[in-house]
Amino acid sequence: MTGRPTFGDFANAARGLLRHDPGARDTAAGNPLPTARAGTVREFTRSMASVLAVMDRYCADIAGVLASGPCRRQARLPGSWAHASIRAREALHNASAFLPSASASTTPPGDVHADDPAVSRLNAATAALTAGRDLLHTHVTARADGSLLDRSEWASVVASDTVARALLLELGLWARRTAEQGARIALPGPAARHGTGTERQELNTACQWLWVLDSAVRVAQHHQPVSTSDVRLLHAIPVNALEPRRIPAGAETITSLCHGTTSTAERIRDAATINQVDATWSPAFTADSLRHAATCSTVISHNCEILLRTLATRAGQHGSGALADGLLGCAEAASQARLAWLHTARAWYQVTSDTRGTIAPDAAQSGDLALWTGRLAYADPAWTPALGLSHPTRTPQALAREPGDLPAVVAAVHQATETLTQIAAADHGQIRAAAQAGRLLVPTRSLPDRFDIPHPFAPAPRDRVDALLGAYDAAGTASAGATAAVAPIAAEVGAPSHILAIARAVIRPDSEIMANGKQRPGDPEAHDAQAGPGPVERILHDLGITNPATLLRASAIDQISEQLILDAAHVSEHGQEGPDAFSLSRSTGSAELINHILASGSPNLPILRSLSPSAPPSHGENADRATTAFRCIGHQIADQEAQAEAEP
Amino acid sequence: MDQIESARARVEQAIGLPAVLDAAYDAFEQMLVAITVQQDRGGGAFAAFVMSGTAVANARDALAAAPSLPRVFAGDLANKASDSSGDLPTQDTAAVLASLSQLLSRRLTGASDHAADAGDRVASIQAARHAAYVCSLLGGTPEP
Repeated sequence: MTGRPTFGDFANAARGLLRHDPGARDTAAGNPLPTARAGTVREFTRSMASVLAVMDRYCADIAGVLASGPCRRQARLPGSWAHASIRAREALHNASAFLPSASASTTPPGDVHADDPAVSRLNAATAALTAGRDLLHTHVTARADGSLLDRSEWASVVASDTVARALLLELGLWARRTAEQGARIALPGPAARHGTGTERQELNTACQWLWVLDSAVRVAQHHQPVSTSDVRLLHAIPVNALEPRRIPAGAETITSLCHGTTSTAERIRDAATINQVDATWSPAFTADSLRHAATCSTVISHNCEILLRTLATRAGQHGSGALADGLLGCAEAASQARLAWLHTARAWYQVTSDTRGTIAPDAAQSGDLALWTGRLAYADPAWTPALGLSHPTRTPQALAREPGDLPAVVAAVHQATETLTQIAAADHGQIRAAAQAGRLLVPTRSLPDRFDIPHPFAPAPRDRVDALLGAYDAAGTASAGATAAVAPIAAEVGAPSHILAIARAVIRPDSEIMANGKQRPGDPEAHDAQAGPGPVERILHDLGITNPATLLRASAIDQISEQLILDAAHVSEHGQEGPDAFSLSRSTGSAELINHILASGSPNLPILRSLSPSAPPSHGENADRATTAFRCIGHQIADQEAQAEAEP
Repeated sequence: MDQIESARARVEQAIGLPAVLDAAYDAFEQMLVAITVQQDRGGGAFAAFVMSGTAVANARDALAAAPSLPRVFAGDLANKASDSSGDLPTQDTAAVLASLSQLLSRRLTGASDHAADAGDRVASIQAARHAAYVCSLLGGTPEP
């Protein structure tokens, strides 16, 4: 939507870095890159501890939204996202307990110069995840009492249930990919690393806890699916660093004008959300400021109407009749907004304030938006409202030379109409506060002579204040109508602003857009339940066997083996005599099989309940734990390779 | 448009600070009415008339704060605030209003030079500045 970095930039980077890297496998298998070497399990676990530490911070943020305050009771409901957030935290804590503490790591987060490519990628993922979380936190700040203060228009989105659920879904993906990498390092195979049996066993157990986390997320996703649009919204959250204020110089391209319109619109919305003065007393509240904003809003909506009509003509020339009709409908909605804002500007002719004569800098920016949209709408590159009475508008060809140019202009209009909606809401609140404080006045000369007031100004009569507030109500409604009209067009043409509609729907969940968005399937990458091949099938792949029939047989053997374990666990779960987790993991082979079951992520796997270990001891108690038969998947790896340096 | 011409004549003929302020205040009121009519017409001059309306309102309110402005009530103004500018083409109306703005700017600047009261000076200067802006918005040439 903007030129600013977004959360998706970092989340996607982390996704890619945590994905299995075939290069790392080659390195360990004896085909190293010139500067690469296979590291040790210990080096990997240290880096993995750093990743988990960042994930834990994410998890704390998520639980703070989904499972605190009034949502606390939700956390007891299996299948709810609140419950998943709690389970995820527990799983992360348990996984971390099997790794060295993140603070013990000798590798600083983000050190991508480690010799081992797997460690290097893990460190880079840690840096990306840390930056992503920092980005989200730029939108809120903590007060001294611990409560959060909004710092941008995105703050409500960041703190919403919707984004928290999408973030937890993302976290599940990161956890799953980290587990897949870690298990490859821990268990014998081409990607395995040098390490003791205990180190490998602990790494594998940590990975299995990450699969438990992923499963908890999948259960919630199964019951209350997160939609694709929710994930898109999460990824679209930009860093809270607005571009500096600027006005067009006169030589801008259409692309540049669209960008300027967007960045100016964002600045205005940010000010309307965050920088509101206290209208009950602040001298910065002036009638001049609000008159200016209302006037410029009228011009902006007029410019939007012109742009939409020009785009409609162009769409018709491109043979997109339906799109042209849609754009004409948008133009009509913009026209209604123009009329409503005109009445608002006129209502200010009858009212003033106790402080006058200055226009606040934030209010002045509405003039900037009028200028940016005007430069887009009119042919004269030096257009200003003061240029004269008659200005030719841009030709459709000049506004959108190619069909691919249309989305950027639609996005600019979408941004502008959304901004008008927020200006109306913000200024309505200020005027109401000022009226209650007695700060709205009228020139005494404008009152009937039955008022004998020996001052140049008198308190504004109730009917004038009501008319002013009513005008803002109407302007807000009409602007919202224009925004709602443009939003589906923006989505249809792929305009980057389409995320605005999703963001507003999160803040106002009763909107139609929200209801529609919820019906779409979620991000397939974020919650697909595809596990890789099972251990037998994987060995055949490693041997270079490609015969489909043979691979099918191997897959069937893996499935039968898994079913056997599941049946055994199911018996155990119902309190009947049966093997426990301890006895199910007799070897590295069985550990690999259980890894595969966990990675398959079936939401209803009883194995997750019956085989999940209880809270592990702290890492410093490793020696004691070695002699304690704690219920831990993969525990027997250590028994088999006790005190031995296991070579891959 | 007769009302605008009448307002213009009053501004031209006003002698003394209170009379200039009074005539200018009434002229701004008349301009608002004429501008509102043009705003309803839309068209290419829409933005200019919208911006002009606010500038005129700001100018009028600036004058309202002038200590030397005579107290007159709306009952007196009501008779003056009837308009017949709707029958003129937009360009002609703009030209008349720009010319009046130019005159107002000049007279108010002159009034501020001779005002003894600081409040009168500030009010006159602010109103003159707004009038000059209206002149440029409507295609006129503000006097330096």
